[in-house]
Amino acid sequence: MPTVAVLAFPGTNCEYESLRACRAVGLDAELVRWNEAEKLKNAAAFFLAGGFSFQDRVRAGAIAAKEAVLEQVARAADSGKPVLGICNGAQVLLESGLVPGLTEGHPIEAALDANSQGYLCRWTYLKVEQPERSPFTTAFEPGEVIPVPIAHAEGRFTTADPAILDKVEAGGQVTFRYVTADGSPADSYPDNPNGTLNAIAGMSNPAGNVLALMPHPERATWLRQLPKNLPGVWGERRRGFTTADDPDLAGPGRKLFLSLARHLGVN
Amino acid sequence: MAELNLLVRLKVPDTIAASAEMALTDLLAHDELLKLEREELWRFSGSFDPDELLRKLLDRTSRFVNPSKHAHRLVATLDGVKPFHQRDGKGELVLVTKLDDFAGRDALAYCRNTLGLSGVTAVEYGTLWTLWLAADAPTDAVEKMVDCSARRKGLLANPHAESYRVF
Repeated sequence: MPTVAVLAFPGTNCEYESLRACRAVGLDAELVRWNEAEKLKNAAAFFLAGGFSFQDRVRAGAIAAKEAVLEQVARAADSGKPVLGICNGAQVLLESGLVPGLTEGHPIEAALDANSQGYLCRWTYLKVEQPERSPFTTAFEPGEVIPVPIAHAEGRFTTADPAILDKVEAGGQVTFRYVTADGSPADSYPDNPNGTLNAIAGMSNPAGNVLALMPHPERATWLRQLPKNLPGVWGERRRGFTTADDPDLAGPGRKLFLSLARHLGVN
Repeated sequence: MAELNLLVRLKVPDTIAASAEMALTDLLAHDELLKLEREELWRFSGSFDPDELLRKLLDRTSRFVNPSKHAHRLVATLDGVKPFHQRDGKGELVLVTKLDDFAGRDALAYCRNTLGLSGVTAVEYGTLWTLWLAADAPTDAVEKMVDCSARRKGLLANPHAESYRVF
């Protein structure tokens, strides 16, 4: 069975929930520490989990991006293997130049900078765009709106070169965008929680196989993880969920992992 | 227009500087870096007496200088700024500032709204790095360590979020 390597650096703190989310859809997921690169040889996909690698020192993701293990991740990305970075993992992918990844050789083309409102831990709504483009989104419907939590202080996508943003949009690289609960554009806080350009929450590389996503779908993989006060259809489902129901009922984030499982021929 | 340049450093070991130094020397092989040190810069501008403003900032709040863990110094202008102490090697100073300075804006609001310092009209925040280099360090060593243009190139400033100035 293809293996998903869940990468953890010093300070990563979402590795176990990331493993559980992968295993919930039948994936064989293995925890790989940053200094265990030899374990990556047989990995079919890579998952850079969330947390605070190196305590976000200098910038979130900046030091982890320099680690030798990223060389293997970059090679895997270039060969077309799926690479997912969630939250701090997304910050590592941008600091590595793998996303947006417009230019050969992976120069750094953007940043996930400090939120306009500081550290935020709350539920947001995401719209899925062009789900057919990424192995992490094929199970979603185009335009599907899902609630997913965020927990970060540095998630505001920005670039000093406006042409890069234009290319990202023109190339269909925006995979998830913050919206309101009813799917309307998120123009400002709190719907666009961190002031990110064009309400970008998740972005792929041009080939679609590398995804940097600030919100945490692994924290919305089971219906029971959702709060009961969410508006919309997912809130209704959660309010109707009782202890007599199957505790494994899927939450809105599970389709991301299901998409990967299908891509790898598992589910 | 008055100006107060407040430089703040930790009395205890600075783990941010230590990790950055580790990344530059061990991961990016900048052997010419002997030591990396860090100070935070708070630059206040407006209509005030600098001595009076400093006294109020030290007396009324620990937000900028917490005497339990911080040491501080003042510099008249950044142009002539020197390392806060001497050690072996050649001390090169680099100021890294955010393109969107939310920390400075928050500090300005705090000064005006919480501390009542209405004479303060602008606050800028930055990180002043001191790179202690070997005598035979290449002339472009500082820029190579600062300007983070690719995964294996530079660390201290991501040009898409930060700018830097070498003194």
